[in-house]
Amino acid sequence: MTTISYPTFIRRPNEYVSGIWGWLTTVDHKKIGTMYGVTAFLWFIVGGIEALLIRLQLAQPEGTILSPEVYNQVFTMHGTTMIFLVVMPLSAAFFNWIVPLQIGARDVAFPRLNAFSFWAFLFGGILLNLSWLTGDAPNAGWFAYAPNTEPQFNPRNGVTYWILGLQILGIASLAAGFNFLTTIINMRAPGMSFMKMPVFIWMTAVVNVLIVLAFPIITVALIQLQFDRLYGTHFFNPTMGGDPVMWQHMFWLFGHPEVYILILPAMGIVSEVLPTFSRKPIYGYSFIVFSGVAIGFLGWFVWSHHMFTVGLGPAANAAFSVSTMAIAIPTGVKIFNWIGTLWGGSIKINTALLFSVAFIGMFVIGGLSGVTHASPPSDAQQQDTYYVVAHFHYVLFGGSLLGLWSGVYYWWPKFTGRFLNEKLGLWHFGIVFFAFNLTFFPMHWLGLDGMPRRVATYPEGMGWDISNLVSTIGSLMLGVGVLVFLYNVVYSNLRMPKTASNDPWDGRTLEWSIPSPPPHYNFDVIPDVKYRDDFWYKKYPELAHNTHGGGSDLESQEDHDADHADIHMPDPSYYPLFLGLGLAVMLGGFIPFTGHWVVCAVGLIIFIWSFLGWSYEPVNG
Amino acid sequence: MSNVATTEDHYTSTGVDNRKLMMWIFLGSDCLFFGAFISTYLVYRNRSLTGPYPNEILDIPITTVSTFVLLMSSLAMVMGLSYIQQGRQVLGRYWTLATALLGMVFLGFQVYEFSHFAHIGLTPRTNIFGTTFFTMTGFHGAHVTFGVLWLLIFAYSRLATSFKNKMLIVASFISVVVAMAGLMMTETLDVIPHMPFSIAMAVTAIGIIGTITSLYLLKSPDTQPEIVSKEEGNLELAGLYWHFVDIVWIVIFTVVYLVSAKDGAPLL
Amino acid sequence: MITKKLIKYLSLSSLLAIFISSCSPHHEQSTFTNAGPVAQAQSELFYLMFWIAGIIFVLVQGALIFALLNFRRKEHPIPGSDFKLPDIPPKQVHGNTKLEILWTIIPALILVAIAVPTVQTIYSTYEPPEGSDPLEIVAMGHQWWWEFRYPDEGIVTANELRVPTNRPVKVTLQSQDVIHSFWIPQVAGKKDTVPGNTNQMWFQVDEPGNYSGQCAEFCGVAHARMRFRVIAEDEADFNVWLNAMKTPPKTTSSEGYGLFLAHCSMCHSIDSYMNESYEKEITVQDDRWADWFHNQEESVRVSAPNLTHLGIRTMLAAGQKDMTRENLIAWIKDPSDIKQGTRMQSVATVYQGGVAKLKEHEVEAIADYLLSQIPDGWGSVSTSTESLEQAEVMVWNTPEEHGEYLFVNQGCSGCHSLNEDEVIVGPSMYGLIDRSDSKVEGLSAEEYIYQSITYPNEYIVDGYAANVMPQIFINLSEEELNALVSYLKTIK
Repeated sequence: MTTISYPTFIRRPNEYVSGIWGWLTTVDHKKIGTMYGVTAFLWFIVGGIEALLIRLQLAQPEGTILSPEVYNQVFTMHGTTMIFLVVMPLSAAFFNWIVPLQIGARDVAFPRLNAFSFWAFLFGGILLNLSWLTGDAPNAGWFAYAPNTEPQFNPRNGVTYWILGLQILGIASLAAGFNFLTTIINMRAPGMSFMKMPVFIWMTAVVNVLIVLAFPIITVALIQLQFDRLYGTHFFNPTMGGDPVMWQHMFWLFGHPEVYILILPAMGIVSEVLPTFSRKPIYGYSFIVFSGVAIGFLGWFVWSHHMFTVGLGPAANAAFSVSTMAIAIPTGVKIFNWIGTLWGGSIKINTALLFSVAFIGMFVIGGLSGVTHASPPSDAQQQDTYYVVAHFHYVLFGGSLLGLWSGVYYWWPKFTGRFLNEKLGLWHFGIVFFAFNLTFFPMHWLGLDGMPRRVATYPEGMGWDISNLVSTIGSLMLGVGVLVFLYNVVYSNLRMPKTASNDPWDGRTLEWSIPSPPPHYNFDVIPDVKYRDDFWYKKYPELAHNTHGGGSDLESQEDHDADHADIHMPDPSYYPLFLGLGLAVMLGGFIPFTGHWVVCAVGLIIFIWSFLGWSYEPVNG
Repeated sequence: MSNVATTEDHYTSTGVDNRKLMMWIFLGSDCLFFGAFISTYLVYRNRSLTGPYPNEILDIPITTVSTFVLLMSSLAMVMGLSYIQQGRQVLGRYWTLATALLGMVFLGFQVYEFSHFAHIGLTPRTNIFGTTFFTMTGFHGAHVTFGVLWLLIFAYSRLATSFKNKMLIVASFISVVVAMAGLMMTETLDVIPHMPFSIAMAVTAIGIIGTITSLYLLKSPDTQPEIVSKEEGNLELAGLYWHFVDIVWIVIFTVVYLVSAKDGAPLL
Repeated sequence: MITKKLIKYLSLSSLLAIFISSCSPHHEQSTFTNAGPVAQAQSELFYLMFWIAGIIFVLVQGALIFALLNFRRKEHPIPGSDFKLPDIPPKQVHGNTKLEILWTIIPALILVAIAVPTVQTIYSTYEPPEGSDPLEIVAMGHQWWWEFRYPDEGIVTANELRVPTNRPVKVTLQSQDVIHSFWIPQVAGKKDTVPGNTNQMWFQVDEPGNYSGQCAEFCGVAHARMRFRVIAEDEADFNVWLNAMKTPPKTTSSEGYGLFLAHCSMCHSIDSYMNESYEKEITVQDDRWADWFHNQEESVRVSAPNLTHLGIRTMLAAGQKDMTRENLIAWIKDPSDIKQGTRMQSVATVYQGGVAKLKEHEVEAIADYLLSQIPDGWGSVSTSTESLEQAEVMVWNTPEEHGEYLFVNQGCSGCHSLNEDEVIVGPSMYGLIDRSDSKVEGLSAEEYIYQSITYPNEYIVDGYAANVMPQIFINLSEEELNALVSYLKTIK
């Protein structure tokens, strides 16, 4: 590019390196997606073990498996892990794999930034969980309400680990958010206007807008809490004029959009699975898209429904109650349109479809119970009880996780070229579906029967014993269901042949037009897009008349050179790994253990070194 | 900053460069970052239980000067980008350097302000005003610092090719730091205490002479115009960031020094 | 095949849940049993939404399952492939705008039908009905117990809230430490106690009885153990209690009294039946709290439940156990065994973080003393099977002898050692006379010691904190105070 030569600290690996270095230095969105998926699943097992510990402790009244302090650590880490280390990165795995493939791009806009997001996520998760080794795991809940997290009440380091771990995960999410928004806005294949994008891409876009706008708020709140804890400021210290309710406002102003960050990707996946297996276009595309956008928008005006009992006054409660109920409308529209998609279709019933249908069913339950605590007087009885626990598990497990599993079964052939075993898949689905309801349905009763959340134990004779025991049995069965899935993955990868064709499900979107698994440059030729569900109409041109979203005629593709030897992908790089590592070490160095400033300085050096190296690195080594 | 690997170097759906688009998205995100700090400051107005209160401590004239300096740096940024687009290296380099050096002067004002407040008893631990004031302006200062480093590294690596000119850029940076350090040694500013007046003046003089000399010697061009104008896109990114940070300061200046400057003890 | 399973699982799990919920024994905290108008209004709103939701649930799940069963693919194998496809794709329907508008508007109308009564109920449950004469109480959340104050009556009590039936109770909610939430499920929904803010709620109980309450906001280690009990009585019984709470107990002194003063009185008040004791208790409680909050490492006191007339309470340790002698002894010996994390054990010197450093008979004496705290004339309740011993009438030969007795029995010896340089909590009394006349200008040694007993905060010895010594010894008689001073002068 210029005649000036810049210092390169480490040369980029020249070729498409294989083996462990191939993974450590990769900037390929597909490999990064795989790493996200695998890592998130490992954290899922950790979070699941924490869930089982909670359930075992609560199986009987006056349980003694965990001390109250350890119980608090376990439930805090269960929530934090499942939200930040499981559902978000699992969604990110799908963003990574699917977004470039569905919009007809060869990679994301910033491949190295993408790799950095992954490494920051990995090291952030490790830092968060390192707290277990010091015996000081975070113990104040994933919501970390001040002043229970202020140094006077929580002098040990657990919450500081939590703050800095989340700070790193936030940076990872923000970087990914910038990246995917740029990718979706700027790198769509020619002809793919916004209203021709697949619904999954739309939902990804909404999620990343939410990430980009919501995470700065929690970043600031965490900075404030960290300064209170470590440097003696008074943001949330009521004895100096600070207001603990301010923390709640900032946390939920982030926290409620976060809820949609968790659910919208699954909604996007379901919106891809249902049309494919019904062999019908998604019903009411523009309504599904705009209701998703509306959910993302309205999600900013409802945060105080987490605070109905805080005492904001009747006017605020009434206003937030009405805005919360309003969100039920676009959500309902989505559900009706999904049923409309199935209606009159030619439905192929398999694991992927069953997970999607179960997603709808369970999400409806979670949504309906959600309306009952959108009403503040009713919520006064439900807030902070197991009823709420039941509600959000129906939305986040019954919703997000089932949706994500549907995506796993749906896109697995595209990821690997192999199918997941269908018989094991049905067992997996059956056990998980049954056990999920067995675990969480009784919690509705428990909550309405007056059992508060976050209690390390409960007395005998309250009428809560049997429901809790049933719930515990259900959770153990859930564990079995997850093991079946794990076995299916291992079994399928070892035993199932690579039989997946380009288009095993008779799919509709661009990812099915290329080989399974795709070559590292994805598309030999960047496709020209004429229609929504373009690939489907290329296969069935006779169905293309009278379609919505049809575009003007574009020039044909024959001009393109199909010789992929000319396709030049960016070389791998070491710097994303080191930048992520430097960030985590540097921020971890703020945790006040002995000699922590040395660690912080080492992290800073790694960070600056890899930042400069990154900046001066040429495209190809 | 350079060579951000994109698989599609030319074609984008919107016609906007990927990096520029991402910078806009980042700035949108950063709005929420500062928005959160500024909202906290506003919510916590008049909640300090002990002094010093804003009306006892804020010095509006001095901050008006520093605000003016920062605004001038934005003007310099515009000039710099304009000359770089025309391929006029020397002027483009002068204005870009001026942007960074004015940013440094702004930071010097902030260092003085923080140290002055600490001398008269306001730290982040003193009261809720100190807590919110220092964190908000401190994180703004951190943004300015990052911008200054970005511009200096950009000038060093992209707007100078010869070893001599690169060193002169470094020298101008060091000289400005020295000049400001000299001023901070005086008893009036008292940031660096216990220095005789003569030493303070000498250090300041060395700094000023160094700045003038190094900038004067930078008058010779050393890069081809067409190469210089290729840097336009890179400088524009820095420019977007720089203007944004300026705008944030205008909001902070309005909120802190104009709106809340008369806040005293809470009326209980 | 699969779908049949699906239906089977669905019905099975819901049947199970109904079965489970119907065969549980007691439901002390059930939100379905409404004992007052507030809970009633909240329940009605819930039932309204529940039935609407139930109908929507049936319709939506019905449509979903019907679609799944009815539109299954009729497959034909494709030669040379493992996969089967129908010959013809179904009709490619893209949507129907009228239908979309319909299913946007209908849910919106349903939500309006919910929102209107919601907003009405928000306002109707916010303030007590106009024209009623509510009883005003203050509920303070503490880690991990409840303090209840009756400002109009000048009564402070803990963990057991007595209210009259059929009269609104207006609760002012506060907290000194972290956020808690005040919740009596059968009576009213919860509201948080937020430090620095003051919240309001109200409730009314229709029938006399005991109602279980619990902290609902996560507040730290012993969150699960932060319970309380509401005892609703009809107006006459309630007034009897009000008067009783302002009556002195039958016995004021026993062997346990001195031990109580020595080991417990720094944090627990026990004499709030006296006039003006309400204001004093609130000030002292704030001092105790501030003392701990600002210097946790060294503070030997923290705000703690008021124990006045403990003998008529029904539960101990924030609703954890019935108030029996055995339970009280167990609680005093090792509070963590009943409520892990309690500050009683980590703050009070007598525990030093472990079990009580007391002899068996001393613990029993304290328990007996506490259980004997029953207002004079409180007839019907007898909680302790032990007969309460009356203090013997004693005769003293010298003031010093009398002083020595008081030194032990008023609890001085709990904090002040007689050995040289030994510090228990306060300074050692060894050689007191030699250093007393030079402490405060213008006071002789005797005057200084006298003042230090009656007004301990007037002069604080270097290295010791103010407000640690209880300011209760001014209540001793002149003769007793002089006896103490005489005795203290002899310690060398």
